[in-house]
Amino acid sequence: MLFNSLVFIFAFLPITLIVYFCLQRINCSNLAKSWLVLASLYFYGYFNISYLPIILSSILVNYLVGLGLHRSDLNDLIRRIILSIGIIFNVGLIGYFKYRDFFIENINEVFSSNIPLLNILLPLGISFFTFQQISFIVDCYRRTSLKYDFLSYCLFVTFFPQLIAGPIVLATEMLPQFEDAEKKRINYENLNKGLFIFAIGLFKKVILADDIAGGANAGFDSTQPLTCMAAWLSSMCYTLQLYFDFSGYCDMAMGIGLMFNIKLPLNFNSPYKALNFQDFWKRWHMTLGRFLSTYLYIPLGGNRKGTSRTLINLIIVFLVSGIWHGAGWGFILWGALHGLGILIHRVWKNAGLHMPALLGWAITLFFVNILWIFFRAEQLSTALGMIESMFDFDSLNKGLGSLFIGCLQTTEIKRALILGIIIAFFLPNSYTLLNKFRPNFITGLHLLICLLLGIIFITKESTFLYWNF
Amino acid sequence: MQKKFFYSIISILSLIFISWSIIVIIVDPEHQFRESSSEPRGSMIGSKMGIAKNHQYQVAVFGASTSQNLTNSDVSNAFNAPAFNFSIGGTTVCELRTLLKQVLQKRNVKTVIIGIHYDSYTFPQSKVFHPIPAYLNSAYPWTYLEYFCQMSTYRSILKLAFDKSKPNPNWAQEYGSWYRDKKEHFTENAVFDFSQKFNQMPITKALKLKGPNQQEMLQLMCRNFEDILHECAERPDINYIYYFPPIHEFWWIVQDRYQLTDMYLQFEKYVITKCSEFPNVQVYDFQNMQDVIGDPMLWIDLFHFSIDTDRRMLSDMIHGKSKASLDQLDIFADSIKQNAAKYNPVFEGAAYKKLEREFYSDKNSP
Repeated sequence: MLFNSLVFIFAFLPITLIVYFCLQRINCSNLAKSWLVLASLYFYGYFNISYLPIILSSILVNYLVGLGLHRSDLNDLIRRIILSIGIIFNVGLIGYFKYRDFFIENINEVFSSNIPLLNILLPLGISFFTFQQISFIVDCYRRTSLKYDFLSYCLFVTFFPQLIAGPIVLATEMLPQFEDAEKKRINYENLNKGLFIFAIGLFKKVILADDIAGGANAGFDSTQPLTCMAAWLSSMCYTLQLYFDFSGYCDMAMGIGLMFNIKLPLNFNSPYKALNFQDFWKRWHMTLGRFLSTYLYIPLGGNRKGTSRTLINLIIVFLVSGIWHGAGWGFILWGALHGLGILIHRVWKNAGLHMPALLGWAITLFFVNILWIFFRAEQLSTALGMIESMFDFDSLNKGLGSLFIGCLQTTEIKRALILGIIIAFFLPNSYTLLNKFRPNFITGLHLLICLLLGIIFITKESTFLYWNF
Repeated sequence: MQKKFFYSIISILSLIFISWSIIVIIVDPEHQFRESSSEPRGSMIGSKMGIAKNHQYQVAVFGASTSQNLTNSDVSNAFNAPAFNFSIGGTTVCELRTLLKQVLQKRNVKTVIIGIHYDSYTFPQSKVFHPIPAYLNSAYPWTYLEYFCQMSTYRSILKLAFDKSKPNPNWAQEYGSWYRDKKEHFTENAVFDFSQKFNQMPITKALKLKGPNQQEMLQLMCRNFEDILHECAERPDINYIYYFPPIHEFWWIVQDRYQLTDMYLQFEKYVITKCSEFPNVQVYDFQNMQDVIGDPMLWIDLFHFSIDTDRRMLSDMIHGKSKASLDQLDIFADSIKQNAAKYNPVFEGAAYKKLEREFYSDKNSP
């Protein structure tokens, strides 16, 4: 089920919400939690019921690992072994479902062998719920996470707003919220704020991302070489599409969470206003950055073991980030190049050099935009072809080429593109708006406009880009 | 304050959607404004079945967009029996057969009218745009909700409310004639705009069918038709009427230019010959309505004609006129050739060739 579908907006969400608070009201807290878990599993199984055993077994194994790690009678070695088993299980699970075919393809390529591909359907959200559970068992090992019952743990993993595409939440920030008595009652302020940010997210997804996608698709799916301007426009369209798609999803997730009185962590903070690569990664997919920093970068030594080791650690982190995003050389290259960007920024900063903010912003956006091409293109060759077209200045006199003239004649794309640029670069982000939320006429009007436009423009169900990861 | 705000928002939203839904139900109970192109076909079929559940009908119409204009009331009046039109824009033969089967199983239908749109028969047997069975047995409530919430519905209804000159919710009249507005007859630009805008490039398609592919395609079309005909053989108690709706002469001229006319006419010959084996099957051919196929005022694009033509076809069916015959088909083939020869100077002209070259050099290379 998609957040941007009518069945979700008009049936699933209101029913789940009403039943949940009714059960809480009659003091059936466990029943309410069970209801939320069931609803979340239904939400998850709605896509494909065969995903359910995978997520359920993953939950069970990780919970048992967590239980083992909480035992006080075990020595450190055994706890390490249990933790290793847990991590191997999670990495193995994601490796099997996500990377096995990629691995076989490369083996076949290198050794000219003919090992058949498995063509396994990638379970939705596996990258997210796996990382989430790795964080849980590591926290258990570090004894920073409290012990919780199985039902609460199930809810922590399956809570539907964040189940499919994050944000990647931590047990320490989610589980106490499920237990908080204050959060078990309807809170109208949270309901309003939740509805408000949900409406913004829906607007971003339906009005902006889905329409801008037309411009991106026209370029990336073209079988003909693009002109320089068309290639730039197409890549810019994708840059905006990805932002509005993912941040729209996160806004909706945060909004739904708030309706249940659960505060999900911020995942975006105007990333295209970043002044350098480091700044960009503090603003883009912030919970992934937090995870990689807490559970990979710092354990690797962080910046505590000298400059060269810091730089190596950074590269490792970004390579993992690339691999996490998808099984393909494009993603790996994308991660590596982002790592390189961070590295250059670090060296630049260490050398005490400065750059004007506007220039820093322009350079960052320029490279982020180019690197997204590796993210979007299905083949490395397509990505390289697109980049080649971007710098084919001889084709400047051809303008956008007939392909894009046709595409941009579509009012929806033009409208969404202009609106998208204004919102992404000049307006406050949804989190800022949320903080300024006041229940008055103007806010109500904004909310109604976003919600109504979002709903009436849902003409087809379009999935979120990050659901592929 | 927060509580008041929340309930105000929910009340306003509910009020807007409920009142809007009531308006839509009153103005367009049969979902005439529903857009077929952006609609998952399964929902479309489910919706048709769902709406049909509430109707009594003895005459059922099937086909593609070219049959959608046979309104229930017109067909009912013509056949003096309640009718329901199940036509779906861009339908495949697989969908058509599934729908046909369902209707025949569920209802005591006396007459079945099937519009033959060539494109429907060019899909492979298994081609279906959306899993159908899930929606078939009951009305699919979300299709109503989707319909109520769609922007296109809002646009169409509002247009209807404010544009008094087009009171009929029938899509053919609603959208008006793009072609008519151009006030051009057959200039080079007109035919290119015409085909690109509405018809997924019949020329490109035509080029793809050159040579041996034509024979394969013809065989596929015949096989597909045989599948539909199979249903007729199983129910000899039902009267079947197959008809070939008219297609604008430009389309035929373009087909002729790429030597494709024969393929389509061979298919029609096959249909006529096969149907003659069944006493309960009649075939009508309206492709040779010369006063219609050459008059741009009656067309929306190369395939879609105005509702007056549908009414004429119904009248002919009732009075047994325009029955398809092999002889008549030969006459039609000759008329296409004559028409094509008339336009040859345009096709051979430098301006047209330039357009053609530019078009293929960009994205449409066959």
